[in-house]
Formats: sequence, structure tokens, C-alpha cells
Amino acid sequence: MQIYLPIADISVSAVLLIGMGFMVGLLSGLFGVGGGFLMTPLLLFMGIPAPVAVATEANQIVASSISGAIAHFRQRSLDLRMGIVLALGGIVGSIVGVFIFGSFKRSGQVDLFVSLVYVFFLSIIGSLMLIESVRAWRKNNSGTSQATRRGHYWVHGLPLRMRFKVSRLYISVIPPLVIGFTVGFLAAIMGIGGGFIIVPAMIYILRMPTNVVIGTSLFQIIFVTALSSVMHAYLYQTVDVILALLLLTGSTVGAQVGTYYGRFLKSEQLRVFLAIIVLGVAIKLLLGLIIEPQELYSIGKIETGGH
Amino acid sequence: MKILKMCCLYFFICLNLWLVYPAKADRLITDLSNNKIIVHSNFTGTHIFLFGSVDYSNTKQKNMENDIIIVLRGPSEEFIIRRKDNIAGIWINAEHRNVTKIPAYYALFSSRDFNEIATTETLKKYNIGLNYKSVNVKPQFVSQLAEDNNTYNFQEAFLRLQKDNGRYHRQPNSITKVNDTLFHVRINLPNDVPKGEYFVDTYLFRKGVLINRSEQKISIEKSGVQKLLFFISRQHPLLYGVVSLIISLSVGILIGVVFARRKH
Repeated sequence: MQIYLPIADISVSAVLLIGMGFMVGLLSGLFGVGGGFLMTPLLLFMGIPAPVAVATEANQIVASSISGAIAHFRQRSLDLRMGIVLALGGIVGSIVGVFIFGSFKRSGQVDLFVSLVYVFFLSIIGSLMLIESVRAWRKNNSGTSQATRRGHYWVHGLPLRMRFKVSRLYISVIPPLVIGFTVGFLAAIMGIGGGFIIVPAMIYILRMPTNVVIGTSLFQIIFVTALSSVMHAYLYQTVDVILALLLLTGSTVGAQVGTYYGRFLKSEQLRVFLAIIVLGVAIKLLLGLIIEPQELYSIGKIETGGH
Repeated sequence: MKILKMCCLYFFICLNLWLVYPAKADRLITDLSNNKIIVHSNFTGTHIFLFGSVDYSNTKQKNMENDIIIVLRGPSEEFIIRRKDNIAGIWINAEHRNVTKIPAYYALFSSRDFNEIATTETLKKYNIGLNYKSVNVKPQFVSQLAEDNNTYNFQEAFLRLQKDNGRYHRQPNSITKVNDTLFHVRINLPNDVPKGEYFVDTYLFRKGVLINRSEQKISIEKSGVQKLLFFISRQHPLLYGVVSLIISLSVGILIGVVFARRKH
């Protein structure tokens, strides 16, 4: 069934969109990742313009993260103070990101920009995931487990220290602000939540206890993606609410199914699979940039406004 | 201002018709099966029929060999056309041209091959068909000459792309003549047909000479919800952003609650 998307201005199959949402949701449920970093490239492959894909994804991520965020908030499994500091950094980062995105949009290079940023991040993440999961697989087979290190180092010793009771940390606010800023910036230009960056950063750089990491990251992601989706809609009119709803329907159901089955499956083997998907998407985007296109010319519409 | 322009244009056309056609020409009457198309969210394209008839009562002629050409012209829009160049191993949008007002959709239908109906010069005279000169481009930089070789490449690429997209097409022999009076044609409109006002101009030719013409209009509009969403997103972007966020949030929460209940 074809459905017309009023903002993207194309007709696409509704079943395909819901199915895509479901598949990405399933993966995110299985692996506990956000899935935005897979959904945005898939939308680009479908022919949805990059600005619409990024802005709509931001909107959809808020919605698919909200129930998780509420659950963590109820169980108090988050560090509210740390979340606020991260969100403050994130808000500034996403404002900067949205404006930089706009300057690329005006110069006609936004597709290139989004593709390049994705190729860069997906290839790093895919490789790291592959290495880590293969290593974990081997370790599991030999029966040894790794204990996480806890301790202080120079990052914590920067000025402007603050006490984070829940995380049992007394550290400088500069690292969380910088982390929040970076993730907010990337969220605004890539249409992602940024969980795959902020979670490792909280564990390895801030040394937060793992039980509050997911809740705190969701808290930050909600604020940052909500702000960036509203800003994209306000400044560039690129949020397609019909597209968001279709993807959302698929992805929330997929995520629930994924979470359910995730408990029964061996995660190491699955992680290898996810890593291969991520690398595959990166390679496809890269090939699109380096192979000579069959058609060098492309047409864009100019909105004249004032109807 | 627009109305005034239209009036002038209309007056000009009337004047032309009066000058060009003999006082007593055969009349051309056309009608459309539908002149208002609403594009709903599940729109998969549609078709309309144009029916036409040649009225000989003015000249009392009989058994004439009529040739018909129909031009379907969509709303005029502005475009930007970009060309990719290889810069440091990556294909990047480099040069571009802005295309000023040109129909977003353009289709030609005829009762037999176009060059059998009239000469290229005649067709050009009545603005039937598009060629690269119809594509008015603005140079990228003021210093550039308006018409260099590159400009031609851009114009030619624009027509090619619009043809590949199915926006511009010509269908010779598509008009069915029932007899020397009646004819009809089926006009297909694709699912991504540009929205706006369309003009359907029907031309009656005989031995390479234009006898008469007739004009019809079609309006193709987005349906209520689609139109409303687009309108709000453009006129009240902040409101649109906040409301679409709230809608998505509520759906997200709702689905979460449904699944949470099921587990207990």
C-alpha cells in the first residue's frame, strides 16, 4: 500500500516503512541499542531526502525512548544530577549541530555531509563491535570474565568539581558537559540518539556505575532529540509526522519483541551479526560516494513560498 | 496584479485567435471526465479521459482529416540542478544552475506522429513541446556568461532527468479518433504527480495548419489532512514541531503501556 508523505513529498510503501521500523526495533530490542544509526541510512537508501530523514528520525527516537526512560525514572535507576549536566551539554551541542546542518543544507552539500559522517562513525562502531564481540565470544568459551576497573584519573581532576551522589562520584563537570555536547551535536546532524557513544563514554570515561548508565543516558537522549526535532521542524520544516508515526509503530513493537527474545539468545554471536550489518551499511554509503554515479546531474525543487 | 496579468494574457490570446483563424473555422469542443483530483495519502496515481468533438456547423464541411495534439501542462515551479564532480576521490555536488519557472509536469499526446501533423517550426510557433531553450537557467555566478556550453549541458540534463522521472513525456498515436468528429484520450497521472493547476490545451490541425484550439483546466490537490499538515509545517513551523513531537510521544507511551500490561 503506497502512502504519500506530505513533507518528504514522495509516495512510499507503508508496509515497507512499518516493516523497516519493526526490523530496526527488533535489533534495538535485542542489543539494547537505539537503532537511529541504522534507520537514517535506510531512509536515505529509500530515496527520502537527507534533511527529512535526519529530522524525522530525531522525532521518532524521542518516542521510542520515552517508555524506557519512564521505567528507569520510576525505578530511580538514573543519576538525575548527572543527567541534567549531560543534557545541558547536549542542548548546546544540538543547537550548534542544527545550525551547522542548515549551512550544509543551503550549500547543497547536506547529503554528502550526512553520508560522510555516517561512513566515519558506522565504520568505527562496526569495527569496534566486531572486534569486541569476537573477543567476548572467545573469552566466554575459555571461561574467563573481565572485571570493570573503577578509579580516578586525570579527567576527573579538572576544575569545577561537583558531587554526583547516585553515581558516587566527585568529579569535574567539564567531562560530562563535553560528552553531552558531542552527543547532542551528533544527534542533531545524524538523526540518532547517540546511545552507542554516550553509554561507553559514561562507563569508561566518567566511570559511572553500570546500573544507572542506561537510565541516565535515556534521560539525556530524550531532551536532546526532542529539542533537535523541534528545531529541525522550526528552522527547516523537515519533520514528516506521517513518516515518523509509521516508523514508530513498527519500531516500538519490534523493540518489545526484541527485548523478549533477547533474553533467550546468546548475545555474543548476535553482536557479530549486528556488527556486520553496521559495516555493510557503512560500505554501501561509502560506495555511493566513490563510485562514479551513472547520472551526474540531480534536480532539486526550490520552494518559492508565499502562496 | 496576478489577475491583471492573466486578463492581459487572456486578451492577448483572444486577439491572436481572432487574427490567426479564419472567421468561420470549425469549432473544437472538449471536456474532461474529471477536473478536480484529490491526492489522498493512499493515492496510487489515476487517469482522466478527455473527450473532444469537431463541430462542422460553421463551415458545413465533411469527412475532413483531423489531426489532434493535446498538451498537458503542470504548475510552473523553480528548480535547482546540480552536477557532481570528482573531488579528492569523492563525487560531490559541484556546479549548479537555478531553473526559473518551468512546468513541473508536461505531457504531449497526439493522434499520429508529431512530425506528420505539422512541421517543427509550426509546433514551435504555438509553443507545443519543450526543448533545451525552454529551460531558462540562471548562471551560478554573475560573472559567467548566460549561455556557455555548460549551460546547454545543464538544460539538456534537466529535460533528460524530468523524462526519466516520468514528469515529461510524449505519447504519439495515443489519441483515439472514433470518426471524423469524435476523439478521446486517456491521460494517466502517476502517484507522485506534482500538485497544482494544470492546463490541458487541445489543438486541431489540418494539413499542417492550426484550425482551432480549446483549453481545459484540472486542479490536482493534496487531500485535507495532507494539505493541512503541509500548511501548518510551513506557516506555523514551531507549532508543527511541538505538536508532532507530542503526537509521537503519545504513541510511544501508548504502545509501551500496552506491552507493559501484557507482560503482567
